[in-house]
Amino acid sequence: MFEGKKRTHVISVGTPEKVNYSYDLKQGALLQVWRGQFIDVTEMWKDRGEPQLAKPLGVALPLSAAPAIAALADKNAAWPDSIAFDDLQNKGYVLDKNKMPTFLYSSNGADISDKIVAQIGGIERTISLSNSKGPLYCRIAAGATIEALKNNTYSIGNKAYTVKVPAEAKAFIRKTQNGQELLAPLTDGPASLTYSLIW
Amino acid sequence: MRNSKYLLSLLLLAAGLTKTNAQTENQVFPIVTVPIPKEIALEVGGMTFLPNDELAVATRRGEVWIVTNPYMKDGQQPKYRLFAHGMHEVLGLNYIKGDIYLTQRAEVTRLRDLDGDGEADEYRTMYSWPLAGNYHEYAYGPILDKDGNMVVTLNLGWIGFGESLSKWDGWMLKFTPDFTMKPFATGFRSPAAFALNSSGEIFYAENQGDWVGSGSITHVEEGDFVGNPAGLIWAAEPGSPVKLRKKDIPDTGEPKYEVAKRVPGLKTPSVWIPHSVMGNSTSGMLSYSDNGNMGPFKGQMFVADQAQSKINRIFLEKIKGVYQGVVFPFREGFSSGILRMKWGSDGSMLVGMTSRGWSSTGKEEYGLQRLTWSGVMPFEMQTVKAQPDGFELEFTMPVDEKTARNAVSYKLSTFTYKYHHIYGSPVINQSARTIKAIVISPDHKRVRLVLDSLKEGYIHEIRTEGLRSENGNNPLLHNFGYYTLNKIPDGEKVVATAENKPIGGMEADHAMQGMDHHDMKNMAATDGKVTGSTDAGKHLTKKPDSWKNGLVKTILLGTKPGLKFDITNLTLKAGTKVKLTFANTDDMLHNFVLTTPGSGNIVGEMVMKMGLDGEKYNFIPNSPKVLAHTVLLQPGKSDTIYFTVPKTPGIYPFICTYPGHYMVMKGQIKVVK
Repeated sequence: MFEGKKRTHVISVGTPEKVNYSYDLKQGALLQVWRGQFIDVTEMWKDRGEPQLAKPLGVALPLSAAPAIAALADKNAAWPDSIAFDDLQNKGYVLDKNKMPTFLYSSNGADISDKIVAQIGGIERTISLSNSKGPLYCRIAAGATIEALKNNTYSIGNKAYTVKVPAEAKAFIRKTQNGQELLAPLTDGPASLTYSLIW
Repeated sequence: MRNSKYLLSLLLLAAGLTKTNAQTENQVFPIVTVPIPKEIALEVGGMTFLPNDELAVATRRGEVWIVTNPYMKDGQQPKYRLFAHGMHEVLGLNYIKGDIYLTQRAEVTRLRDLDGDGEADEYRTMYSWPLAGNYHEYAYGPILDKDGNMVVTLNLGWIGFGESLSKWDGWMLKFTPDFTMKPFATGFRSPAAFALNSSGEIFYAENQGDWVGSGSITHVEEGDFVGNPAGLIWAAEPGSPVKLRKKDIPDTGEPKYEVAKRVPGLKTPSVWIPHSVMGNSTSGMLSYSDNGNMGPFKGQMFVADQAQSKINRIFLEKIKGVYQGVVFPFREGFSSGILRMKWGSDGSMLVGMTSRGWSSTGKEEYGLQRLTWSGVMPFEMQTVKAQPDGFELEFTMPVDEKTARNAVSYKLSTFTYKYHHIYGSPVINQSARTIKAIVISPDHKRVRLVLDSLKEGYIHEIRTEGLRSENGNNPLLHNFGYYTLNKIPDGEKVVATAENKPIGGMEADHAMQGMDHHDMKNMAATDGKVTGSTDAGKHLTKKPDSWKNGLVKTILLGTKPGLKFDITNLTLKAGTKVKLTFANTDDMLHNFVLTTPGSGNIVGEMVMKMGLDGEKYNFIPNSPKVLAHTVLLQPGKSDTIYFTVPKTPGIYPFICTYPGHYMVMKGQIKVVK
């Protein structure tokens, strides 16, 4: 469950560092992160597995169910809430030497890989792009307020968490109806965008 | 009198000494348990052998284990290693064109070990479909068809009835080698297993439920609609080869065969697997190919039953272009609920099991066993083939001519099921057939039974309890089968002569005297049949007039998923007047039966002997051990009954007597003074 809705194509990943996250494979969305114990699968593995829910065993920090990557008509176009089922082809994931997954999918005409690893204080996410047909953006964060701090660090949602984006990412804050968003343009490359999420 | 008793016991003793014993399943087809390490919950969802003869096993907990030496050769224990994990309820696994493919709830996945460290590191999504998140949206496969496409089936969801909650729920899908998806057929309810027969045709196994009177296997061809209309909501989608629409399907309760006559595109089962008698929940399928070594049944099909922890055997033939055939019992007594079978390199059958969420006769939560053939030739009906005027029974060994010629050795009847939106069906239109002529082949291995009539579209029960083998005068290992007669073949009919006139009728009693009574007692399964209860006093649906004065205790009883009552312990005072409402909120049929102390299991077992009549009597046996009961309730229905708590204190079990449920779906009333 996320934002009151059962998400059916979600994978949750736990790490030896006890940093855990849930990822929606059909949106390319990092849904939530939490620390501590991994996950309670009672409602998937007991009896018939009703109601098919996996629950974090820790206080989850909700992020966003919206797709991480979108094409925008212009810099002011609204970020999409979701991407249609048939408009994103999830292609699975590969594991690195530490058994951490990189998720692979295609959307908006581009092939995308999305790697999330645990690091001190949180996670680091690396998005790589290839075969893109036009300009794409990544929405790094959304919140009621986003405050730019020094060292390319941003405080999201009144210090709920912070993100750190390299200067060369050309991230920018924009206003929306509900608050603010932190966006960065994406171009083809093995590491089109890398950022850290600290909480 | 004293004298004759003495004589009788002498005779029995003599019989015991001179007779070879009747065969047992255990003697002919021994089961070997493959040990599973304690820390592994091997809830088998899929199994496949890898080229190096290791067994890959996928589980409902989303793991893939690789088992080395499941045969326990050289007395060595099998070894388990984890190959992949973190997936979503894998219910199918196959090694196809050099890769491991499996089906998770939402996708077909290909696993590869890229760095060669023995664990999968690429989980490639080959095709993904939508889900509603309903627990009943199971997905199965993939298998390879004869043209090189992969085949997958998707369950209907369950919301009090079967529903196609997401696109392609209730469909069989095919994937071309480049993974283009082609919807192939619909009407599926719970298509847990499918396999190719020896000609490469696809057959799938269905489970009793809404629009499904009983389990069955059905030949599936492109564009078929196999019965449950829920999936038809997608029939107009691009690429769908299915012409029927929901509005085309009548809900009249007529036999499916009759409905299919006027609804082209509705496919009827190739072989019905009569519910309760042959199984409750048809599951794994395995074609007896050259890879197997399981006795003289090559080319036939093995079909498992999850609830009854057993495997049936099916012989198929094609008459006038339509598949039909007969199902026989084959082997029971497995340790858990069978879901998957595969041939091992030594011709033995690996049997993978899980019973979580559904009860099974085998009490284990999960298991892995190996079925072997001892080499002893089983005395069985090898095939039953339809004839223009009856059936030809073929045996694995010559039959004794005297018993084979006797009409009393056989019992034949015909019946079918209702086709309707209601869950399951009673047996309907049942009638006995009589034998007009019996022709025995010169080698005594084939017996042709000419009947008074054949009923096209009907299931023909064929019982052969009186038959004996020519050598040893032994009974059959299994003495009944069910032939689904979709088409009556053309051909020459038998002309009745003095030579083929059966013994029987007036002569039957006389003939019986010539048979061995000792054996008959062991074999006459019909004699042990339990009849259904007709005692309305045990099912009072109105408050008895005599209760006018005095308190009535009201009890509301419900169900919980996984075959459970929501209340399992009640304490009541002796003599209390009770109004009990039992509401079935589960996805299967259930009832409530209160029994005398210590009789829960006994009553549950009695139901297994009610045979085809069980459902008609709500699975309530005619027994003083039954004190009170509700009717058999459809999902979502309830029944209110009145009964008086017994005067004698004690523990009174209550159970659901739907076949097999009593083992787990039970509670008790503690009666106190």
